[in-house]
Amino acid sequence: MERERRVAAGTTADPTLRRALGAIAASTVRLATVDPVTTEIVRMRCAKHHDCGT
Amino acid sequence: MRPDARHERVGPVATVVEQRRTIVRMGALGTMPTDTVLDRVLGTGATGHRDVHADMTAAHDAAWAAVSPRLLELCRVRIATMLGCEVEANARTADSDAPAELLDAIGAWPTDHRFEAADRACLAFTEHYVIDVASVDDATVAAVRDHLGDDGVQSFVSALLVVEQRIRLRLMWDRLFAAGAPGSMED
Repeated sequence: MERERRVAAGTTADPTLRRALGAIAASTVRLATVDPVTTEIVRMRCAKHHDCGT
Repeated sequence: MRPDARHERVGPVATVVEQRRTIVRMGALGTMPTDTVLDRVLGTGATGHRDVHADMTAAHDAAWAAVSPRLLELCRVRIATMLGCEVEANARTADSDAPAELLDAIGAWPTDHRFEAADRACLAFTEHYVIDVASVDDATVAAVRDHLGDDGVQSFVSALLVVEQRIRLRLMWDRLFAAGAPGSMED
């Protein structure tokens, strides 16, 4: 679904917070306790739930 | 990374079972503050995820620094009540400047005149976010933007993610590591 912009182009979250969220994503991706198939299914489910097409 | 290479790093099932036993032996998580739960599950070495613990702690600190502590505290308590996390709902963040009487009346925000316009905008957004994040409508976002500005909206949503994620994680761990829980592997 296409949406209009809700914030101005170039808007960013607080830089420290943005970097911290990126670090969580990176460290989570590095986890290897769960097998790749389950990990991918969960990732896709989360993307669908969040309406994230990226 | 090749999928099979990632598989090679997966520890044996026995290790995972032992990790779970270690956490269960630490005591029931359900009554502990969320900081303690995170530390016990991620930071003690039981699961070997100290890097994730450090990153989550840094994000939590950044969230509270980036957003009005009053607004974030109101929203944190609202999230906790919606998700049924009693420990978080009853906890109070030091120096948040959120009045205790407002936190105690958080469920009444739509009609309670003590809540300010910015409180209402952020709480409406928060409820929508928790219920169905993909369907948050333009008007709900615009109301928050009117009070916080464009950058403020982005920081607020990011901070909300951090707060909600912590509560959901601890709720899941409360159940997963509860002694006697369904599927429990205790001896």
